[in-house]
Amino acid sequence: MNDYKKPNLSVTVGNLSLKNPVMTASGTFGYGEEYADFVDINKLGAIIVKGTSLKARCGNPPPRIVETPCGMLNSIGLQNVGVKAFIREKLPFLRSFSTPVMVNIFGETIDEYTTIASELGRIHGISGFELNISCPNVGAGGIIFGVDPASAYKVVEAVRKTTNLFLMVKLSPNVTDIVSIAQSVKKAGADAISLINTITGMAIDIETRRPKLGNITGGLSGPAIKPIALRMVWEVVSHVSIPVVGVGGIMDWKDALEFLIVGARAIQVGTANFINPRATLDIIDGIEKYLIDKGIEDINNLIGSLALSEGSLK
Amino acid sequence: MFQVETEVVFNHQVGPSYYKIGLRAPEIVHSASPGQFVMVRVSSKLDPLLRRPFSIHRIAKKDSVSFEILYKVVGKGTEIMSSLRQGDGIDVMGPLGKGFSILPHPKDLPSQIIYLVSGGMGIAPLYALAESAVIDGRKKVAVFLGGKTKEDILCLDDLKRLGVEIHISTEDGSLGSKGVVTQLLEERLQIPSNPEVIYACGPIPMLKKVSLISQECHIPCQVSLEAYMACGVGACLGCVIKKRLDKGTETYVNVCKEGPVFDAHAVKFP
Ligand SMILES: Cc1cc2nc3c(=O)[nH]c(=O)nc-3n(C[C@H](O)[C@H](O)[C@H](O)COP(=O)(O)OP(=O)(O)OC[C@H]3O[C@@H](n4cnc5c(N)ncnc54)[C@H](O)[C@@H]3O)c2cc1C
Ligand SMILES: Cc1cc2nc3c(=O)[nH]c(=O)nc-3n(C[C@H](O)[C@H](O)[C@H](O)COP(=O)(O)O)c2cc1C
Ligand code: FES
Repeated sequence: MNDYKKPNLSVTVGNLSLKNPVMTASGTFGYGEEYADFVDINKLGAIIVKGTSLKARCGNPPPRIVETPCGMLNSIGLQNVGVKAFIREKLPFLRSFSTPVMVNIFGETIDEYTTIASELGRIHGISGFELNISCPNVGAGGIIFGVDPASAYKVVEAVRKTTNLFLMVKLSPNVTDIVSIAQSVKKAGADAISLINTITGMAIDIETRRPKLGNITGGLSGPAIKPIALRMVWEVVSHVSIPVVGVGGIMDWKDALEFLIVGARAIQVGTANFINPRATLDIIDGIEKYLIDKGIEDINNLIGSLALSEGSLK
Repeated sequence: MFQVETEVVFNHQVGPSYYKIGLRAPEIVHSASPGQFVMVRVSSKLDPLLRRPFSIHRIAKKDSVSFEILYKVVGKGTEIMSSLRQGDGIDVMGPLGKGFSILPHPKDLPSQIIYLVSGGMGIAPLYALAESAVIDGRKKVAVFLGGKTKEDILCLDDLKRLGVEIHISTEDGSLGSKGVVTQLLEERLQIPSNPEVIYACGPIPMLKKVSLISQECHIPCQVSLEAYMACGVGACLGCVIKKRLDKGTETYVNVCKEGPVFDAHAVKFP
């Protein structure tokens, strides 16, 4: 019984090598230390930390969280300690692991994005960036960078010029044509794309007739958004040639496999961490068991193996 | 912090919509202190999705392997919880957050009195504090219990057994004096010999008032707060309240990690 070979779980996303395809999604795993009692961080494929801006941000007024059927809305408002405190207080802990650390960065102007990227680019212990472009561009009247192919192009191009580190761009699902955004992000020089960020939503208290979130609207995450995320990943992998990382509603190994089969090179686990703090590790174990059961020696043989016509599954 | 997949030891109804559940979790029992809380996953389904936060109600028995939660059925999650039976599986994370701090007892001095002020469910964490203070023989305890009706006055028998001083008020006068619990507290504070610390848990307006009263009397005050929570460990930043800093500035802090117990005089109540 023990003559089976352990399947290969390692993948590459652009020039980044990961021991397995499971990452933590930004904003759902803090800076790693919050979950260190539950998760051996060395076992993760990569860790993506909370969205980081140039200056500390205090975030939105509470309530910031409301549960909806099979999902949750959040309006955290990108509260974070700022890039300097991140380097000083949060990074030393993360450096003690072998797992690649990616910093999710965002700004209100293109300048802010490039300043953070160049500041972090000089620091030891960071493997790459995830660019959150689901933020309003204050310099351009508050339109979200990521909903317009031209402004998405500009911000990615500017960051690309300031850093040689791995650059992944995280797309917002709140757009009519995800493919055109993905294409312009690729043209601007991104190494990879991750999607999706949360879907804008709302909830009302019918007794008080007030919005349930202090910020009125928020971002929907969790199992409720998985079908949308999966469809968007499918559209992007079908039309854009750079690697894609799937995010959205992944709760267990079966959900993760759906994204991999559709063509995602890796996946991120978000809301699931809150419900099961060991979700990432359970997903890694579940994927490995599935590969053994199916006699698949290398996870790369599974990625993108979606069978579109009957009988095409080998 | 631990995540334990464990079982229900008992689950009793203790009032019209109040229940007490016992959960087997030696890891949590041995590391918890009064005022800390747990996050409970009431079912393995995806709806309700998030864990629910509950104060640790009883942990005092040193040799015990289980702890208790006192809860009120208010929605989907607590409804499911109330239907659990002995032996059913349940998933808990804890102990979480910072609990109450009890001042060390100075040698050669008579033990000091502390006041515990509870509105409704507020007794859930305060009972753990009372029990620990009494059992260790460190403090004398006076408990002020407030509720809408006599049905909302919980743990009376347990408190009597502990032998603490008890004051009761109900808004409809069906038990104790008629009125709100902060009135009782104010009356008691008229008598000289102030308590060492006032500890409070209950609805926000009540906590705000207790904080004001304690400030006027120059008595330290600790309050246990609630907030909507997703992670319970400081990762999501969803559970914030406003805290006053020096120099008149304010900041958001996590209830789950920096609290749920706070110095009342540093909290900026809504
Ligand atoms: C640190 C902490 C300790 C707590 N300790 C206890 C306890 O010992 N006993 C107890 O009965 N309850 C306690 N609560 C409140 C308890 O978490 C909520 O009552 C519970 O989550 C409701 O779940 P539900 O699915 O039944 O209700 P839902 O269907 O989610 O909501 C029903 C109602 O409850 C309110 N509510 C929901 N979640 C919370 C929350 N996190 N805080 C405040 N109100 C909420 C909603 O506004 C709504 O009106 C505590 C909360 C916190 C943050
Ligand atoms: C509480 C919370 C905070 C988040 N913060 C960020 C963030 O700072 N930056 C970012 O790019 N995405 C953020 N996200 C989005 C997640 O990384 C992820 O894209 C989204 O939640 C969908 O995945 P999920 O359904 O698995 O949670 C946040 C999500 C949640 C729930
Ligand atoms: S509940 Fe997530 S930070 Fe407090």
